[in-house]
Amino acid sequence: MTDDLALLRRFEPVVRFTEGEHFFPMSAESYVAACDLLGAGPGIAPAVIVPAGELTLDRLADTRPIPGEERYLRFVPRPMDGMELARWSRSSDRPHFRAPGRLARVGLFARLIDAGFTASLLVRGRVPGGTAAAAVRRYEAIRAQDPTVVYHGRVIRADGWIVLQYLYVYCMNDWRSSFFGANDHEADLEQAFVVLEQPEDPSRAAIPRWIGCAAHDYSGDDLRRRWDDPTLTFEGEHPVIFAGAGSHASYFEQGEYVTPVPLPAMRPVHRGLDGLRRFWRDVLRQDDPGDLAAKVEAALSIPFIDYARGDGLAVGPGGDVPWTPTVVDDKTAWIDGFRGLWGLDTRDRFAGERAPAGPKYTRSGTARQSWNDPLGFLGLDKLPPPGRTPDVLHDRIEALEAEQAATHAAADAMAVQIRRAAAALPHRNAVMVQASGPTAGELELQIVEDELARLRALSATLSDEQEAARAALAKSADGDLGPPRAHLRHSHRPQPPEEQRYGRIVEFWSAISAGVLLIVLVGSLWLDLLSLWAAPLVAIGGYLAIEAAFRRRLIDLWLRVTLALALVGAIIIGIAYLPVFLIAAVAGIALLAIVDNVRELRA
Amino acid sequence: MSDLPPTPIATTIDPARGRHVGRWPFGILVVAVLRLIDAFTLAAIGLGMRGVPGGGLPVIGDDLVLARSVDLLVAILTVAGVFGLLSFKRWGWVLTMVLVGVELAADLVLVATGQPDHLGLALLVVTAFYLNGSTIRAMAVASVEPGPPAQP
Repeated sequence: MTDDLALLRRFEPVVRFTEGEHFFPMSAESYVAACDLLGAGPGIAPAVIVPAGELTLDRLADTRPIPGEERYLRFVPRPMDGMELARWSRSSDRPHFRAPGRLARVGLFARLIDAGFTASLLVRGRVPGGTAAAAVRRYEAIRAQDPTVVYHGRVIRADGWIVLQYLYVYCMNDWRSSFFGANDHEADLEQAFVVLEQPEDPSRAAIPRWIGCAAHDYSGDDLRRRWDDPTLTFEGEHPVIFAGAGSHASYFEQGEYVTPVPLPAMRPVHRGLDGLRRFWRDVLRQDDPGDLAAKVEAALSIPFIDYARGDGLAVGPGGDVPWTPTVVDDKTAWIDGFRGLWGLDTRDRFAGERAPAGPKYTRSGTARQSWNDPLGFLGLDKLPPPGRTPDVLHDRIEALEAEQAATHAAADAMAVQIRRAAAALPHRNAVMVQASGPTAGELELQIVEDELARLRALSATLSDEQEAARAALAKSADGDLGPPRAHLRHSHRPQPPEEQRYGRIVEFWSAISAGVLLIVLVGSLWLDLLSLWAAPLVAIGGYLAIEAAFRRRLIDLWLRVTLALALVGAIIIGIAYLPVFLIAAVAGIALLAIVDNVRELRA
Repeated sequence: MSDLPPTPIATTIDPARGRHVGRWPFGILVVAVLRLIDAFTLAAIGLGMRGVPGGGLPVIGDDLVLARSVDLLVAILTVAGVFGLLSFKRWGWVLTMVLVGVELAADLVLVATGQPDHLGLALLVVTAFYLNGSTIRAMAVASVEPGPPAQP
């Protein structure tokens, strides 16, 4: 346990928060002590089982729901009402946060969808208004008693790796209420991992190799960065991670992250848009429009920004506040014993507004991979520690050599067999074969020939694999680990600062444009100013022109409109003259065939 | 097909002046001729000459003076666009594309009102796609890149 604590402390990450953040990692004990434990279920009205102040971690671990009942914690017993909320919002001692231009960074449809998303909260299960503000008050009271900022650390040793798992317990995620994000929920459990290589010689110190963080919509390889990744920041031996404001999602780089929440209906459209892109680029020989599917998906996603600016409180070595660690393991009772939710259960069917379950379990009570199998969670199951890679490659090469030798031997034996079989077959000419078909012997010979060809192809593949393994072995022996970011499939980088700067007029227009568009549309129809097809055309056209003018892209817009009109014109002509085009095409093919055949005759 | 290198063009970039010199691609010449014919037709309609085939741009309302003024303006801009295009200036390419877009919109209005001019529409469609082709676009962009200073 002492060794574990020393390891955890040696590599504990520094977490930098955004100015305006309300909540910081706290001890599970303090959090649970401030919560009510409730039970509810189908036909069972929510009721307090253990009131706040009486609940302890041990009591939580011992709680057993009755059949059909679900248990959950509740941090905020009574959200602030409208008056209290207004007074709290105006109070000058609140942390300052300004986030201009969220909507200016995305297009019209995203703004409309954003409005729809906001409206959907009225009918979905959600954290009641005033909860986040009340949670801030409660958290401030707890922090006045216990100002420590806490992580719960766990050490796992497996397959030559040592995984240091850092769990951060927050009492509230107020991303939506305080930072224009996607959701709010009580309780927020975040985690970071530092992965060390355990040398085979126990007297040698462990070597840090990877850092991993749980992040929105990413999994496996994309969750980790190599220790020598140039985008990482360090404070001595301590990696620095940047927590999203309110969401507390962890990022490796400081900045603002556009986190689009894609609509599920977009997925089938992908293939069609890829086909359209190929047609435009390869058949029409026009400029490559880029990844259309990604662009359309981005335009039709709900645009949320996670602000991981790192300009607020820094917790950890070299920061404003030190960590207070608590070591946990598989036997820690509160982690193992309580399967309920760690905050208010809103019954939101999209789950975004439901509190999470504990570190070990998912909301449905099944094992959580990040606890159960952290190496697999980070995509490290397939990688040996670098010090053990040569042994693994040696074994692989030996196995490949053995397999190739066996394949060779089998192929040689088969070749002898084929020659003997072929020599024994009676000779038949083509006319006889055509008349009566192949004999059983000929068919058998063909099957064996196919098998021989397969064995020879396999032998060539095994040879290639050996070559690749030997090359990897040579690199490994030289200590060459390859490019540090080669494992990444999706590299989530912060938005460049130049894309975040917009004038006040653009920001104002972005804020009102979706509403204005809808009013113009409805108004022109209501007052009978435009017909049903003309109204949306004029409204959207006007919107696009104003938007492009604000962004100084009017010419670009018109060039795109020109191409769209050309495409429409091409379709109209294609339809109007389809028979003529077909006749011309057939005549062209016929002419080509005649010319080609006559040229052959002359040759 | 897309892996093939772009069709060679009989032009070079003058390193001293940073713009194209030499012969124009054949397609550009064809486009220039078509655009000039279009400009002269519009100018003739704008000046009220009789016996000119086709009509001018459809303008909302029945204001003859406004209609003729717009036709004349578009004709002048078209000639300017052709001049810029043949000088390998980016603004020439942009102006020509913008005007092609305006005329495409006008032709589509004619289609919608039941008076289609299919030949004119087809020529505009081909012109738009040709000018937007990667080779011609690259030339238009290259024409604004400044060249290195001239050697003494």
